[in-house]
Amino acid sequence: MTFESFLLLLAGGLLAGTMGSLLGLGGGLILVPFLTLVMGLPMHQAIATSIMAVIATSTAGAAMNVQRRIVNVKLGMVLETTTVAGAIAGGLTATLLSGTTLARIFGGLMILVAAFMAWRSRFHSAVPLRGKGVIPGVIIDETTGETIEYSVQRLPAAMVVSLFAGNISGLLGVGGGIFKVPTMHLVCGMPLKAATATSNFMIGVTAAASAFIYFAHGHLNPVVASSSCLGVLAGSFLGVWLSTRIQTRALTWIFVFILLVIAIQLFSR
Amino acid sequence: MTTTVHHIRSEVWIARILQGGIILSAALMLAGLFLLAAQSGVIVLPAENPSLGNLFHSLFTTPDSSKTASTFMYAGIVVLIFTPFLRVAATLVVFLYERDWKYVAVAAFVLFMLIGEVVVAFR
Repeated sequence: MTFESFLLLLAGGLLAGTMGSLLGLGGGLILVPFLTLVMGLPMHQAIATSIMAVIATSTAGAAMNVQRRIVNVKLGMVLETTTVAGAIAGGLTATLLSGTTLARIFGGLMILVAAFMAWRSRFHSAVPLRGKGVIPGVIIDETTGETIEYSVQRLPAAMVVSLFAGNISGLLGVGGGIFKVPTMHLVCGMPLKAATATSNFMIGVTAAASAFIYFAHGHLNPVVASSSCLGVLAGSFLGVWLSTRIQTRALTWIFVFILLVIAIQLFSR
Repeated sequence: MTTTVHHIRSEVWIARILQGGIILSAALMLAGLFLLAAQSGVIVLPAENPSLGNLFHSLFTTPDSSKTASTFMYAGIVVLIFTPFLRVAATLVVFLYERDWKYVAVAAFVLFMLIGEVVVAFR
């Protein structure tokens, strides 16, 4: 490991963390292709490193969101029952698959996420479902000071999506928030801010659920993981700072294009 | 009123655990990277990742000079992975304190699966 490699890892982590934070994704979608296509690391090692970065950014974000009281802790715990099960299954499955197979599945995920992002750019204006639900929650809108009460509906649907998101997380080292947030917002009727914070709260536990599987199989290189984690962590704070200063709508379409290009690269490996 | 104050305290407590975990793990990883830079810059990794027992034994019992850069980095990694475990355990304690038995069962089940994963991984 040379000093240049260390700097490159730090820079890659910084880029992944910044983009992930700006676009409301985890850093994994950028970090995994960066580690495999640019740094030439094996796919399993890239996934293991990404899992560590996901834990770091989720933990830092959750610490702030819990204090701001926008996380629905009870809903998070209920959904963790399925997301953790999915992540453990995903982690165990990943150890049985070849790097090439994982790269192709990752490429498929990137196409799916690109389609989701194109669709998501419209759903902010959608009206979430209202009605009687099972887990109540309250958040205070920090801009208006208004108290918003809600109740979580269609919990079984959210549990199924969480199982899938957990499985993808364990298998490919991404957070899975891209699937959970729209479900919690549009299907369960949660305010978008509460859905995003609750998803972020869960992601750390989901990633931790498969991390030791990768660790025990020797896929975690301490230098790569440490450099990338610190870079992603710094990048996530930079992304939060930048998000109030730049227009992210145009960035979304650029990112959709980048995701498709990377997906083709992964398929052709 | 008391319940509200208790809720705020439990949230602060959970947030502190998360902050503590991220600060400690980042500090250990940074220490490892600085140690690596201060040494030759070349790292010799063990053939396999260390077991959890060996890792903490070498971190806390060996003299400073013989602690390797990789030991610090591995310790940072393990602390980071265990932070969400600790958060789930803390949430379990909060639900126990509130005597909210339904969510005690939910949190205990999540913790049971996480511990099960560690056992399966290192089996």
